[in-house]
Amino acid sequence: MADAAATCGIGAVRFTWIGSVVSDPAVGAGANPPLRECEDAALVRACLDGRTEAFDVIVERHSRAVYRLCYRFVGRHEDATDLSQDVFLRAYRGLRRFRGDSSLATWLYRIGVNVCLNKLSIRTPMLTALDETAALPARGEDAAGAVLREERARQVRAAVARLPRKQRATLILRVYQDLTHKQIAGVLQTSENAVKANFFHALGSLKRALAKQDLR
Amino acid sequence: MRHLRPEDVVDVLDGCARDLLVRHAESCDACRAVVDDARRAAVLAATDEIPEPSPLFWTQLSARVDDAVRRAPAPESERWWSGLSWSWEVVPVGSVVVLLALVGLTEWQNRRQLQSPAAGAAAVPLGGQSEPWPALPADDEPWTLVSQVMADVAADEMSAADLPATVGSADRALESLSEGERAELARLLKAEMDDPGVSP
Repeated sequence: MADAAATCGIGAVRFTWIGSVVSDPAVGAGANPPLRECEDAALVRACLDGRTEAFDVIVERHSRAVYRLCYRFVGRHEDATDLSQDVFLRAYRGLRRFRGDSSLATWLYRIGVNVCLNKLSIRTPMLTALDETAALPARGEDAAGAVLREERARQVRAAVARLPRKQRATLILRVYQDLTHKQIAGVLQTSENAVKANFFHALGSLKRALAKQDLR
Repeated sequence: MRHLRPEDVVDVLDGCARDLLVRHAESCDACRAVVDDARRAAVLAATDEIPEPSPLFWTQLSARVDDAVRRAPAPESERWWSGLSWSWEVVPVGSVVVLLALVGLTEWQNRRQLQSPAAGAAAVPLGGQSEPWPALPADDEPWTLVSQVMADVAADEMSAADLPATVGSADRALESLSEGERAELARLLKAEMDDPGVSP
């Protein structure tokens, strides 16, 4: 972490190139690499030093993962966008609480899961609320196949939406965000074995919910 | 060997289970069925893809967040208690702090009472402006009565009797009484004054 800060010039000389790096990476490149090349921990430190443009890089770097996480929870583009903004805003305001014990991504996921679960707890749980996407045929797939695939996807989403909170969060982080069990344990602040057990039970619940489909 | 536990099944799915568990999963019909079901559920879940927003969306999202961040206050500073972690040691320490606060408050109240008009009279010379007079109604009978009685009492006589008094102290004392108490006081004063042995 200290190395990253040093290589990115976040220290005594930081104020010599404020505002110039993100907009024009070439400026100041001789002395300090641009913020985009900094590691997350160095960006956090820069941000805490008052360089809000460092947070822009954090957003740019993690917005896809955060948005997809939110979308998996709420299933609607507009809601996922609002929640993503909320996640980053909370992260910004609480940036001093990020101590680097886990990666910034893990920390953002943690905030994201909490924000999404809070959102879901104050509104009717999503059952079939995912955006109605047109069932476009994939390459080599006929229209009927596309409709069938979309129908199956809708049923899977509805089944995931009915899962208990922890099982749902675990399944989303494991299957859709591709996190390891250890990373999920960090996000949900629980043990790795508890994550595995939750994942197992989530799959069991999914199987039962879809019992009349392929798993029969 | 016992059947697989949930975490064992997940390890088998992930391909990171110990050989012993893998062999059991292959040889035990019940466990193999559980692993197969879990695998199929995971595969089915993974086939669900979400629509990808347009490439422009990410720029818009960044701009939105950037705008919100610029309007937001700077990152919160760390609270002095943020370094404390909850533990049972906090309970006795907290109790002592609360106890000390209560003792301090009680002491402060006692001091205030000692400095109240009746007790602080010795410190304030008669006729001094210690506190504004209470606003009692002019038609209040007990107040009128007490005022008349006090007007007839000579200050030096009170001092000689070691009775502390300041300007308005009787009125302030009267003010602290309820209406019923004041009526009773008036009745007692009248009865006392009507007593032939007391009247001049």
